[in-house]
Amino acid sequence: MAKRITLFLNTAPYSHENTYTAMKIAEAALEKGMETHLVASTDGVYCFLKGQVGKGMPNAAGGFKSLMDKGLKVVL
Amino acid sequence: MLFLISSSPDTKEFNTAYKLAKDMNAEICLLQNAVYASRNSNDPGLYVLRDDMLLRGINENEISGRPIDYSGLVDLMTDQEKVAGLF
Amino acid sequence: MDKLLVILRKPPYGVPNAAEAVRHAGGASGADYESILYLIDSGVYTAKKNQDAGDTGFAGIGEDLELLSDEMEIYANKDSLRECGLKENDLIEGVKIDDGEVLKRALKDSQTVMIF
Repeated sequence: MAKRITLFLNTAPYSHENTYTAMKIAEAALEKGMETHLVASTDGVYCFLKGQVGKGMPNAAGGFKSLMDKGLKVVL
Repeated sequence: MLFLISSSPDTKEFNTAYKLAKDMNAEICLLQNAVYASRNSNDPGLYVLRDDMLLRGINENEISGRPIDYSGLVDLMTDQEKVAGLF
Repeated sequence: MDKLLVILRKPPYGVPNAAEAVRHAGGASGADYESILYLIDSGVYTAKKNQDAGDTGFAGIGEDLELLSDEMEIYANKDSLRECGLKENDLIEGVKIDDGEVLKRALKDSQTVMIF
């Protein structure tokens, strides 16, 4: 059975670096073939809003969308 | 047990997490702004996230500790019984 | 010429403060303000040389600071540098070290102070 990892994200996308860290950990876990889950709560749910156009920090929605296409399972 | 510490070393959060981890004989991985602490540390057992070091202009020859990449961090997290993160 | 003092207290990545501080100080400098960017507390990490944002998606603040140092005064607080374990040769070229005197004078002389 594949190993499983679940990440918990509860901070807003552009006031903390946790979004980027979570994306990179999820990416590495997916590359290892692990079953990768992310649970977003409180301000973490803002990472999944459509239409984010901010610059200067990694784009949360775009990054997670591409990881979800690779198998990341997200629960808000 | 693994502690992931992300706060800048001049914060209360960093000091609380670091002391707690040491008291519990836990493994420590520094990431985000906590990687600055690796420049002034004499703790060769610390793991330090390499990407977050390089982003901040910290080279491997400036630190004590073991630089790891995200793949290494995932191994570390999944090998431990418990992960307490991100302080 | 009006003077703007921008004080940065937060580290360069993880929070948008540094990027915004640099943007405001640089913008004001281009709009005929005499602006000073002052790094204090964790803000002094912004002056650490060799920052490499690569393909992370973060704005490369170190590079911006180096460019800005040609057109405005950038200072790092001496006590904060010591607390953060940074020495003069760790810093980006163009960043000056202040023992607190410049900060006091700038706070008094500036029409506007922005703290990030």
